[in-house]
Amino acid sequence: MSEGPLREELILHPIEKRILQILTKTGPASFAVIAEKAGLEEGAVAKAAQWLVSKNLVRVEENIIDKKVDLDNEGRIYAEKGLPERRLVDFLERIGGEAELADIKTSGILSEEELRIGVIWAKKNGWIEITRRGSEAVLELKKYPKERTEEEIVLQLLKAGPRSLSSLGPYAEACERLSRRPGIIKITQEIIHIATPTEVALKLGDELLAAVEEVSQLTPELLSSGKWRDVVFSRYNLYAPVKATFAARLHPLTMLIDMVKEAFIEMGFEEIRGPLVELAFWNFDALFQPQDHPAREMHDTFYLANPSRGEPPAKFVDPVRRTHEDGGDTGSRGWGYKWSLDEASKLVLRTHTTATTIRYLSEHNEPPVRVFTVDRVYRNEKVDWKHLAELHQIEGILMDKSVTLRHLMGIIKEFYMRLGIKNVRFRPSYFPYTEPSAEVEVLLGESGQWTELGGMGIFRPEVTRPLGVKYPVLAWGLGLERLAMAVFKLNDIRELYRNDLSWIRSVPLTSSRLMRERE
Amino acid sequence: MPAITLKTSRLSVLLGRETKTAELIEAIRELGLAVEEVGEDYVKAEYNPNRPDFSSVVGVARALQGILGLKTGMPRYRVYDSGVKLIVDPKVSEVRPFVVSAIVKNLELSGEVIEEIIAMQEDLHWIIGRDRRKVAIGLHDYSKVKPPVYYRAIPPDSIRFVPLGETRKMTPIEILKETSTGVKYGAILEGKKYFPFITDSSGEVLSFPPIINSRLTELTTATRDIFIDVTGTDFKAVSDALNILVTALHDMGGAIYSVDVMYGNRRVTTPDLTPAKWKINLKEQASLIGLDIRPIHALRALRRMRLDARPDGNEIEIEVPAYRVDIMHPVDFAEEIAIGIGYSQLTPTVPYTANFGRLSQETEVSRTLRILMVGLGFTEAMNTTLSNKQKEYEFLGITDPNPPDILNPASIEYNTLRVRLLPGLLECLAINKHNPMPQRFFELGDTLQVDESVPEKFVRRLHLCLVTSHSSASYSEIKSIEEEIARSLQIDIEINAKDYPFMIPGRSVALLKDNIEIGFMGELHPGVLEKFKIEMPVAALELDISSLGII
Repeated sequence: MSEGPLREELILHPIEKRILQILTKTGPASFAVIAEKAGLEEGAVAKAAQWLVSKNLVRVEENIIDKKVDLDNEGRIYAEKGLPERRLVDFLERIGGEAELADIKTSGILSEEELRIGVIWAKKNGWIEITRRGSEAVLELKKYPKERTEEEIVLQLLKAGPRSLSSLGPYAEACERLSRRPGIIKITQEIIHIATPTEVALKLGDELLAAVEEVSQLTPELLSSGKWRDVVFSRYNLYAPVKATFAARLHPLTMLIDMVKEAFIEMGFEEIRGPLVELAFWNFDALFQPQDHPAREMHDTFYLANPSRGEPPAKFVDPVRRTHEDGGDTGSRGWGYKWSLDEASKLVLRTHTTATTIRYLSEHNEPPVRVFTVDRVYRNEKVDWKHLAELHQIEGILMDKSVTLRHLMGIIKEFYMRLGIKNVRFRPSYFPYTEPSAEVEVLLGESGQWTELGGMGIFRPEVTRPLGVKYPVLAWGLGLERLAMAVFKLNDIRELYRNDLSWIRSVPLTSSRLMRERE
Repeated sequence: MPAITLKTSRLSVLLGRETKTAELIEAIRELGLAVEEVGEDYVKAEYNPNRPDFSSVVGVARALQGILGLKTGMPRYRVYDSGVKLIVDPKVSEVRPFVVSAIVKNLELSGEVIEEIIAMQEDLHWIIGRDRRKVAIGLHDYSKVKPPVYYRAIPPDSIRFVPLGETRKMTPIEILKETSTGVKYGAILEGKKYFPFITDSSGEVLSFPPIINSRLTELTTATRDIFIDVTGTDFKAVSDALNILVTALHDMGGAIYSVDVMYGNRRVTTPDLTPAKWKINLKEQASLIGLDIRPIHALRALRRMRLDARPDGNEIEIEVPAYRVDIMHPVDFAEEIAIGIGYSQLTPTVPYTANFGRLSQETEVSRTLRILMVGLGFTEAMNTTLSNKQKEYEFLGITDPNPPDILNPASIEYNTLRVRLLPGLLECLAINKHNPMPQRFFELGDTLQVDESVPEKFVRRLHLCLVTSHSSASYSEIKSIEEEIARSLQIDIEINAKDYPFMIPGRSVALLKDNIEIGFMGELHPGVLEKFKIEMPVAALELDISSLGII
């Protein structure tokens, strides 16, 4: 806005401008007159007048111009049938001037209420007298009013419709009297409002009052032409509902996997990757899992059909064979069976990511080795609310000169701390390729359930020696999906891979905060 | 995982003192068992397959006595000589070469105890016996047995007896065909000319391993003495099973008697419960745990594990009872010491080395791609690499000469591995039918492909797939997106008109880089949409990221 302060203060609505235009022409006028001239509802004029008052552009006076009189419910009935006291004396006159109250009651001329009212007013008017005869009350007609009373005249006048009090002239007093009797007539006050323009308003320039257009959309044309200054923008219902907008989202598991990877990077680990289809040699044999172990059987492991065999690394075949058969050079008893190269050549979908870390170790057997991977593994079992056939494992190894079980527990505890999980405990466990072994349990959920989330241990000499590794290797494999179920509050593990948009959109972006707050 | 139910009342008797579930839970956790179910007066626990001696309540009780400090050191077992011989027919070496045997006397068997013994037998069959293939156990009421006992290989139809659970005499062939255990385990004897039998001197069949026992020697609550035969293909395995069984029966109140098994002229007296002897260097094993432990504490810890331990110079000499079949290497004692001390007593500590972490290149590139996709308005879906031939091939109307199929699928839902991401995303659109349109999904994930040049014969290739679905989904929309992707990654991708069976003819192209096909895009054929039960038009794009040279 380039004009001075006056302009800034005075932002006038089109209605306000219209009213000011009319007032400056006609002088003071009532709302009703203004409304008619402006083609507006009187209510709109009243509202606009208030705004103008607050801007010191208009003065409003309230004048009571007249009182209005109209028949009320009872009055309408009496205008037709006559006032109760008239009907009462008419009756008495007809039957000879006197009657017992009880007889009048039973005659049905008046209702009980009307009779009561009629008696009161007939007596007040001096038309009847009430005496006692024995136990009965008797009404005696004393003076029959031949002429119509003023009240009766008023009722007749009002039959045609409401009248102003002033128009009833000499009968105004009778109206006041009638108004004291409940339900007969209504007297209302008529107020008009007169609006008068102030000195300030009269000084406003014409352009300010010029008729202005109301617009809903600001357009590029209004902007570039500068015409936006000449229009007024309609005010919106700011609370009205609008069409939903959905942000595109990363899959919740991706968010969790990113968090896990960040934690290990922070702890100084390097990410590695390995094949999904793996030689049984790396998945089982190099990890000292005997070839007749039930887990290698058809019902737990997926085998590939074609090709079904691969090539185990010649360099390590013999050391691994001897270790299985009699312990080889590892100081172990071995498993004591005849090891088959063909069995080790079979191709499987890896059942754990330990196959990948042991592969890596065979190519990097000098300390220190600090690697991890978060990747898919496979179990040939029936899928249900708690089990998947394909899932992710969080795997890692640390090989160094004097690492111990306590260091292993320290790493796992630190990892979960970085995810916001403080309560972690360990207990002994068993894996064919580690000794000592342990399992980690974590306190999750609002109900505070200890949930087993993974296994760990130090690789057995039967695993490390054949590969030429001389130092202890700390190894761990943790479940991702079970952790995800707790973090995302799911009851069915399959939901993680259903990709239902309503679920994906419902997951808070700050899942990490979700876990930290749980403590 | 094998499991065992521990009643607190029974344990209280075995441990010699009142035991409540809370204390029990804590103690079995310290031993390495997992609590599966907790009742008012019992705990059901899973044990690891390296401790088959936990297959009986007495076996667990024995370990609990140690860990609770009630009885420490190695339990010793007296073996008496029964004078009974078990003569082995050399022909069994062709079918099931090994047998060991023992007799346990003076037992009092209630129905519950018999059930426990049978459960132990089943667990041992699974864990050590590899589902009876390697080891099979026969338990007999000794009062019905007339020694000497014979282990012979007999032609299948030359013998008949009444098997357990039946009422009439049957031949072995009939047993294999008509009984449930016969059907279940018959494959173990497939192709054998002779079948193995345990018989006694009166010619009665005691058992037909590994299938079934004779009804004659069935265990009842009246049985006082049990005759045990364990047959199999591995001498150590059958011995281990026998040792675990007899020591458990001993702890249930029985007395162990040995049997002389005659392999020709060679006499093998079983069970051989001689403890194994090991020597360990304490410093070496303790350092593995991360403990600076005094020998006296290590000895105490080993004794709590029901081992005998004696200092011997710089080393410790350890004796291990015969039911501990899991000890294979000195490193096993590192774990025994750690458990004896209690894992909850070990303070975790973080190893400090100056190392810098790093993400793999695939992850770095994947992150960039995901940000780009979300920026284009696509929500990420995640599907399995496990797929099925119906949606990979049949529904799309294509075939593959070399599909990465699964040999032994558990269900037809997963009988091959995905070679493209498109079917997974189409399924995704189908399940999201009830959600508002437009819907735009992307997936960045691995597909599998045969590659004979690598030792494991299959490689993973990273693919990116996008689908857009709404009432006016079209080729021009997906083409515009593809151009933006190529521009953002600064890669030259050419298009070449190409029809696909799953695209509307004249509305699809192959995507090429350096003249090699690396992907496709186009409008999905309504026939395909119908098969996937999708009710909105779909346009899609799929790219092999591995061949773009950015990973």
